[in-house]
Amino acid sequence: MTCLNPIEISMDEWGQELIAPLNNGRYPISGSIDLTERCNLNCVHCYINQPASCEIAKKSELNTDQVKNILDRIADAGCLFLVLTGGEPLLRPDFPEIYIHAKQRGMLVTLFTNAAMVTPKIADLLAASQPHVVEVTLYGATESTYEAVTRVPGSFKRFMRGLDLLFDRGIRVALKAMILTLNKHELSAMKDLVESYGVEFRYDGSIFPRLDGSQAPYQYRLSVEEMLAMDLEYPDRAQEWRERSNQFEGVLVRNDFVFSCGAGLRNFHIDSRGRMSICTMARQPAFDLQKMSFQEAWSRLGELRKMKRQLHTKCETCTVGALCAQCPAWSQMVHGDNETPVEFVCQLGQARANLFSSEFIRVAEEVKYE
Amino acid sequence: MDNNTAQFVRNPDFIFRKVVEETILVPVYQNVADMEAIYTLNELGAFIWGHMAEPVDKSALEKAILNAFDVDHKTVHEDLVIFLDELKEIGAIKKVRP
Repeated sequence: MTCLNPIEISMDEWGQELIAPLNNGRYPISGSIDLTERCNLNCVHCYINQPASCEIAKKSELNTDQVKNILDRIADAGCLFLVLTGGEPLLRPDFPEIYIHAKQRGMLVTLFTNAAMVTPKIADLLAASQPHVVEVTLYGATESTYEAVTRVPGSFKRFMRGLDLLFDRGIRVALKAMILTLNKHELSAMKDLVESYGVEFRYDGSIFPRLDGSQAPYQYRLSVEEMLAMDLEYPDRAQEWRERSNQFEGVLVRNDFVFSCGAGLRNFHIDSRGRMSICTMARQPAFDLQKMSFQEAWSRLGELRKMKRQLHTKCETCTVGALCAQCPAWSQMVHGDNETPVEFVCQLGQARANLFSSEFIRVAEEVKYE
Repeated sequence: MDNNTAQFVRNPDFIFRKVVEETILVPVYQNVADMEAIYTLNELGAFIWGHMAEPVDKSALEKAILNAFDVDHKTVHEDLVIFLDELKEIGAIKKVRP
């Protein structure tokens, strides 16, 4: 008889343990769902937020039973890792019911939140039935800076209270700073704040257009030079870029397929209306789970994975792909197709290549663009 | 209540799932197990878990295993004790009165 003992695996190891035997098979083990597009904050750079009181957005949302039904279907399909996001998920009064339902279906739940709506009751719920992690975004280290970004008076105090409630109850929290023109001067102070809670400081400067096509968030985006300066300010981050640069120097990492990341291979996204897409940012096409089965929608996403590139772009011969974030999501949001390169992303990738490898061969410059 | 007459039943706060090619136990609530971990079961472990939806004693489990798997009684007897102890330790099953 083979050993019966249940094998304990830490969650950090689990992803690798699970994925290792999959090879290139498609399994929907990881998904995210927008519980709402509405938010209690009004951040200047946000790609999705609608006002908390927006009746149109509210009416378009799935109701409690519809959300729970979709959670049942994705659990039945084998989803293990689930991200509850938005908008602000805690804006929904039925959040506790939805959260517990996801947990009771055996999914490992990550909650994306700004923490400003974390109450003692919510913190108690999360402490009693722990999420995999609560991911909180930070917009500033002081009230004035934080609220310059969120545009909601009093939000910094609520954010800090929410954070304290989560940490006081021993809930696993990850903190990430969103770096913008409005808060870049507080990068160090935000790092200190995050590290005062004993967690690793992470930051991101990626600013997307809004889902409705508005480019208003761009005015708060750091320049390429400022992004590089941030890279250099943190030795670990600079070292990561340096190693990546050296590893892939002169290598064409691009293949013939439009989608070559994990989107639609292991991952999927569902919006607040129940439409399933290949990733959080690449939302076209989307398949309505109110009208079709999960398996049918997943199968349709599989067709997208087979799509080959049609456009001839400068990316074809570019050897800095490993340092570049260009992807179909970026192209969709900026250009409305899957392939047209986004200039800012390209410039940043090229600049990182120049900075982190002086001998980098940039073939792209010699290519005639269409 | 000794271990021969005791019955065992699943803790409903542990969710049994088949994900890809793995069978796993996921704890829903804090304090029933280390929330940083999930537990994998092999085919036989999953078989036994399947028989503990209702309270069941060890001898009934042994019979079910012997009927379904090519294995000798002594090995089943010894390994089952260890397995049930492990499940009890992580809080996945409860001992109940018959």
